[in-house]
Amino acid sequence: MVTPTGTSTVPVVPVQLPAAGALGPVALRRLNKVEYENTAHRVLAAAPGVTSKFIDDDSSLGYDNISAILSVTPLLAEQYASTAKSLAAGLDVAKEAPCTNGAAAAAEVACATTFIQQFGKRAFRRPLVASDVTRYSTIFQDKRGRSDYAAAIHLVAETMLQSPYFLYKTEMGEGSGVDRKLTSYELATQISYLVTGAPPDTDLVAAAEAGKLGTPAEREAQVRRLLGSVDSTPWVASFVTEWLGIAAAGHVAKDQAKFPAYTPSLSVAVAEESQRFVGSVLTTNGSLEALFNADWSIANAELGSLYGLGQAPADWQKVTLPADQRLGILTQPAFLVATSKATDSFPIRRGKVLRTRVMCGTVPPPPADLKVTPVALDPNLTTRERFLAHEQAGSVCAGCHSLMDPLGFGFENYDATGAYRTSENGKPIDATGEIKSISPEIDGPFANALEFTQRIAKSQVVRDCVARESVRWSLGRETVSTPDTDPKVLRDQAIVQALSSSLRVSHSDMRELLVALVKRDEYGFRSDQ
Amino acid sequence: MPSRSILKRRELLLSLGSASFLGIPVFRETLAEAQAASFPVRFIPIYLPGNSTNPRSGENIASYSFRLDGVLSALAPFASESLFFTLDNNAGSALWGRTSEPHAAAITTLLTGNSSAKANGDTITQYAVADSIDQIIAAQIGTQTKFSSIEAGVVTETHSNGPLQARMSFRQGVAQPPIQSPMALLSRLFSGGAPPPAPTPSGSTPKVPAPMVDTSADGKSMLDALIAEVTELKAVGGIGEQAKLDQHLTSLRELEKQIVTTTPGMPNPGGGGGVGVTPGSGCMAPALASVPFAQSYPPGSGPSPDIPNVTSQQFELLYQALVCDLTRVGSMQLLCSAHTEVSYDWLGIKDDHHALEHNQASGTGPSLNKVQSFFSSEIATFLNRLKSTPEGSGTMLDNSVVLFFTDFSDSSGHSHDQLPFYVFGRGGGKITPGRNIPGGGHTNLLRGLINVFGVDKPVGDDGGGPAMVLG
Repeated sequence: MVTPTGTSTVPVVPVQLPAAGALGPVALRRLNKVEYENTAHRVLAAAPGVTSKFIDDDSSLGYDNISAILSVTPLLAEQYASTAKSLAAGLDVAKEAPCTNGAAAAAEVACATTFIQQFGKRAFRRPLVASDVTRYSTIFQDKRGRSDYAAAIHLVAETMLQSPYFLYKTEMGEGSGVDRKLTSYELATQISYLVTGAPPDTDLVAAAEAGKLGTPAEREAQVRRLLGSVDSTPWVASFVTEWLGIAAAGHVAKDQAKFPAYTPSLSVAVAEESQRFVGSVLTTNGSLEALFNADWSIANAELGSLYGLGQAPADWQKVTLPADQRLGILTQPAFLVATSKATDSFPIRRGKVLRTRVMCGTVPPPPADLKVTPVALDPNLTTRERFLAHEQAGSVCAGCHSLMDPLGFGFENYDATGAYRTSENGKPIDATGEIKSISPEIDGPFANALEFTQRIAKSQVVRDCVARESVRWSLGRETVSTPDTDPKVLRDQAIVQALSSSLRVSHSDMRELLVALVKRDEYGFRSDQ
Repeated sequence: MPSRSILKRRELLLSLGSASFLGIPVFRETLAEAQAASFPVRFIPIYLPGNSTNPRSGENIASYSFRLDGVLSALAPFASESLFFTLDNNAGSALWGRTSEPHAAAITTLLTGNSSAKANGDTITQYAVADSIDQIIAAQIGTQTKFSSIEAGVVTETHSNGPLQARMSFRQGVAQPPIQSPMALLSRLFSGGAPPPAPTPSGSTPKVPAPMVDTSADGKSMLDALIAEVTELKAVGGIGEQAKLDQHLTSLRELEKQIVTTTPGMPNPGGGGGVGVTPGSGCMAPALASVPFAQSYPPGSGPSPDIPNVTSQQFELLYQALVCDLTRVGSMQLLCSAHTEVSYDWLGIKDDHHALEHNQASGTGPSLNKVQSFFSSEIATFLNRLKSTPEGSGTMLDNSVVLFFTDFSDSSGHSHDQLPFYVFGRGGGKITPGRNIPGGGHTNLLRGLINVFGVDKPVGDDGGGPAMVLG
């Protein structure tokens, strides 16, 4: 909690200083559109869609919650202002700020002060300090001098809904120094948005008020409780789909002339399938291995047709997929559609996503002086044959593309819509591929996508990768990796290793990533730098 | 402000408040009479990815003769009002070469001259810490208008493989995203920031909604509190949060400016007419037909983006923003570099822009040229609007700096050799057009451009270099 005047009246719950330092720098994490939507619903029971006119949040690292690039631009400030006005206008003053009709001025101020404290606590996710109350009382009284009681209450609410204390999740702690202790209310906010993307519920607020978030065990209990709530599944699933680059699969266009079967409703179904599948994995046992090795999915009739199932499934029924064609999320249409072009599969993109996002490998940047004259491509060749040009002997492209393309070639059994195929342009599909320069654990050739996904599903590489990615998503920041001498590098490495270990000992339960994070001693601390 | 201008401004506001606003010229005779002796100079950067025609491959830029032909033929009538730059080979190669995603990195660097956008895979983890020159100029001249700057665009987002935002405008380390919807832009310009109205089934123009941003004592009361709160946070925030909070404060002051520039007790027609300037005689809120402005999601569930109409509407709105003096800095981002979703059906082209750029050796060159030619024509139409708007003894184009730029000189191979930049207009007399300037560095050009607006400071990574002389 910020106490700019040093006169905070908020009960501060002391937290034991950790030996391990702070989790990261102090931060103001602006609510993204989903979080704003959830917050408006919780604070004002706002109907869905209040953010539909907001400009899209920028994404970084594949996630739309990275703090460094989420700010309040002039355009967004205007949109916040107009939305706050609309939301405040819908506030039921009789219910939220009751006051006797014709009450004396002093009585009205008392009513308003109660409203400011109660509504403000919901909006700011903490009790208001004296300076907050004074500020908003001034707004009330100023407006009351020009208008009626209800209008003044509305203006207070309108202002609070544009306040930085509403728009940002604060990780400021109190005081200053190398390590700042988060307040218990900040901890409650962090935990709640981490697991549900929404503000703290009643239980969590009560825990904050009672100072029961200071120990790893207390935080763990809250996270496990929230993971059991219905709010957590779609939110945590959004991490998985953003990690794998498939969150926007429903937004990807396909050439209707070439793929008339890829209808708008099928596009919607493709995206919904991945959400349902990941959600089901999470609520079953959270298994990372199941994510990649499940022989089942949840499909509707259109997807059943795409999968070539003999009997069309009822709407969103669990189905067993053809064992020789599908295995896990990487062979489901969402991934295959999102990593293709409108007209064709795109081995480069598939390979790049597999390498950089699924396995956290790297691809060197093109040389600064690279000058490329791509060769003319014969449209009668297979996609693989066309892209093999990248790897021709002596090609300046080979150095980088040999790290990506062979991974993508392994998925050539799937066309741009995710449909299974055994031939292209009258030629048989060659779906052999190779993992290069990732880790001796998994490097080497593979026969097809099924063999690839089986190989990586239990690998340390993928456990480490999802651990790192979960840290980025959870903390809304890049993990520090350079320079090697920076203690922050060691800190982040230690966190990633701890989370990866939590997977290993929990039968790869991805939910344990969140538990392991909040159990870290550093969780309640931030640093000035 | 001269008293004469005050009177005319009050008359204007009163008249606007009583008029049906859409499509009605704002009392041209009255305004023409009120034109001031001097006119504001505007900066208008226009970006189009994948330009690939000038100079021709293999040409020596030292002997390269200035021309606007090929896909730029539509711009040929403006040759005498143009400056044409081709940067040195590998100019700023250190800038371009430090990132791994050449498309997103290139657009980020173009107006900043800064390479600090860190890429990881296809994603930017940190935007440029340097301001782009449009924002540098906006900070210098934008205090006098309702909006310091306006950012407009045409289908600038891509969603394949996760969303990717390619931004070109940055202020205080924060990307300034373009508005893609003509109705949203109309609303912002002329109704004080309200969200866009939903298109009507008949496709008719929805009425511009009433202002949603408070423009009275209420607004001032709120903004005073909000500015105080952000300032509080700045006092205790870490180093890494200062730029973010500075941007927040800037945004609140932009809102505050909208309140301050509105006459108390008067209707708020959307402002217009910055300090010392009366809106030009062409000032009017255009009557727009609702058109699809973005790819329907899921694809096929609705109409595809009507790129021809969206583009012409966005340019018309940009013109109105300038001629009404709502802003003096207005940018237009045409398309998203590396766009992989939008095709150009009305031109008979199925491929996306990224494919058109990279597969020229396989025969996509003519299709790419069609697309580039289309947008060149739209830019020419916009330039004609400026040129046909009289200002004193000259035209609005004379008082403008229109920077037309692209990300690659040869997009098929991500080449920045001899990267072309074009400037149209005379910058209020500070630019001597009708010539080409071969060679030179990227940041030298950027510094030369901000010089036109009275700012002289290093720009970008190589900011110590001298400014190009444009006059």
